[in-house]
Amino acid sequence: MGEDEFTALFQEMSGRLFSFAARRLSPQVADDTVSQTFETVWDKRAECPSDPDARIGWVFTIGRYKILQESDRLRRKHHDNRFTEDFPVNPPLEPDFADAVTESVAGHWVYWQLTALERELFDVAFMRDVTREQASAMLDISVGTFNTRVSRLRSRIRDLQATTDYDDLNMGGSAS
Amino acid sequence: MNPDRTPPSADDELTLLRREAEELGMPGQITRESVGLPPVTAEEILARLKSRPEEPTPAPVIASLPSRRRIVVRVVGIAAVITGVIGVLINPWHQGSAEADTPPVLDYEFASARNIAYAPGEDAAITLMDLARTARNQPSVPQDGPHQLVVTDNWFVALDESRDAQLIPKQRETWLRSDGSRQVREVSGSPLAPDGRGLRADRESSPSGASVETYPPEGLDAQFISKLATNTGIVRTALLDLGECEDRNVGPVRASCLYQEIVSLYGQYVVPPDTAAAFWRVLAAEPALRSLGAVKDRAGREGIGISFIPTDAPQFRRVLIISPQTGQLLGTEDILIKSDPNVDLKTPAIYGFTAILSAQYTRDRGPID
Repeated sequence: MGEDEFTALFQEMSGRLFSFAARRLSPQVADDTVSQTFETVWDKRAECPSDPDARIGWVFTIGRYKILQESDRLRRKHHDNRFTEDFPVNPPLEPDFADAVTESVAGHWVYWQLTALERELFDVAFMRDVTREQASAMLDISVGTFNTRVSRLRSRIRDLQATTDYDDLNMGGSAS
Repeated sequence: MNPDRTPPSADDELTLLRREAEELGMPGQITRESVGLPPVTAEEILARLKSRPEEPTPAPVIASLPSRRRIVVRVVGIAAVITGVIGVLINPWHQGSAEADTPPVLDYEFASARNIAYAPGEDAAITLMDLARTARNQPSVPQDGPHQLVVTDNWFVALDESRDAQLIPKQRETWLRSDGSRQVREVSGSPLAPDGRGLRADRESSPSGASVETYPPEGLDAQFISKLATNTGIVRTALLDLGECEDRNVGPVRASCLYQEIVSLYGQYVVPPDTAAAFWRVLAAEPALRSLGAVKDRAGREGIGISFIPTDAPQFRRVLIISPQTGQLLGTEDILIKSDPNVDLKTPAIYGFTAILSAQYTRDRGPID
C-alpha cells in the first residue's frame, strides 16, 4: 500500500472509525485511538488485503481492537483512581447537540437498551454509505450472518420502541 | 412498517433499519467537528509516522488488578467521599483484624439478611420509572432562603485494634451557602435500637460536642443542581461528566458512576423533584440495578430498595432507599456480602449507611457566620 492508497483509506474510514470510537470512549481518547489505528495500518501495510471490502474490514478490525484495549485500560484506571487525584485535567468535550437535532431522547433510550453487541451492529449498519459487504467485513462476519442480525435488530428495536414510555422520556423537555 | 407483508430482502432489511432508526431519532454518526475537535488529515499522520526515530513496538498493556485490600480501602473511600465523613477509623488489616458489631441488615421485600448476598430482586426499571413519576408530581421545594441545608445520619464500620465498632451514628449538617462555601457540623447521634433503626429527624439547634468546619468556596457551584436539566439524556451526560466516567456504555461501571454521582449530589444539595425524577429515569436504563422492594429505613420511613453489586468490589452490595411517597432519596446502605480475610466481619454485614433526614433551603448560613 502506497501513500495514496493510505490517504484514500484514511479518508474513507477515519470518520466512521471516529464515530464508532466516540460512542465508546471520550472524544479525545477516540481521536487518539483513530490516530493509533492508522499508525498501525501503516506499520502493517504489507498485510493489507487487496480486496476493497476486505481492506475496510481489516482497518476496522484494527480499530476495534484499539478501542477494546483503550476501554479496558480506562476501566482499570477508573477503578484504581476514581477517588484519588488522578483525574484528567481537562474536562471532556461535550457533543454539540445542535448538530444532532434529528436525534431524540426516545431514540437514545432505545439505543442504550441494546446490548453491547447489538449497539456494535447498529453503529456499523447505521454508518453512512456503508454497504452490506463492507459492514460484514467490518464486523468480521459473513454477509448472510449480517443480514440475519440486522433483521433481528430491527425486531428488537421495534419491541423496545413499543415499550417506550414517551411521556416519561420527554418529561422536562430540553435543558433549562 | 412493511405494508405489502412480504418478507423484506436483505437489502431492504438494511434500508429499513436505517430508515426506521432515523425516524426514531437513534444516534447517528459523531463527527470530529460536532465535538469540537480539529480536522486531521492522512498527510499529518504520515508526516508524524515519518518523523518517528524508529518503528516502536507497542508494549502490551499490563495493569495489575487492585488487590483485595486496595479494593476495600477504596470502597471505604467511596463511602467517605459520598458523605464527607472524615474521622472514620478503618484499618483492620494492620496488625491483625478486629471484630465488630454492625447494625442489622434491613429487611427488604425481596431480600433479607439471610439471602441479601444473592437475592436477585426484580428488574428495577419499572420501579424506577414509577418513582420518577412520583417525584415529578411533587410540589417544588420551598425557597425559604438562599442557602441549602442537608442533614444526614451516617454510620460506617469503625474498627481498630483496641475496641469494637460502636453503633453510634454521626449526624451531619451541611450548609451549602449561595457563594459555594460550606459549613459542616458533625455530632455523635444517639445509639441505634437493636433493630438497626432509631434515627431521629429532629435535632438540637446547638448540640453539645459538635465539631464545626468551614470550607471556602472552591469549585463548588451552589446552583449546580438547580441549573441541571431535567432531560434524561442530558442529565445522564452531566452525571457522567461530573464523575469523569470514561466508560459510557451501559454496564456495571457506568451504573456505578451514576450511582455515586447521584448519591454525592444528594449529600450536598437540595434536589428538586424534577431532577430527582430525571435521576431515576437515568438509572432505569441501567440493567445492573435491581429492585429489592419495600423496606423501612433507619428512620422508620417507607422506602424502596434499589440495589447493585459493583464489579470492581463484588464483596459489597450497595442499596439506594427511595421514598415511594416523594420519590426522593432517603438514604444508602453498603452491605458486605462476601467474607474478606482482612476484615473480621461475619457476613452479611452493614459496612456503612447514610440516611438523609432533611434537605431544605434556609436563610441560616450555619453555626458560624
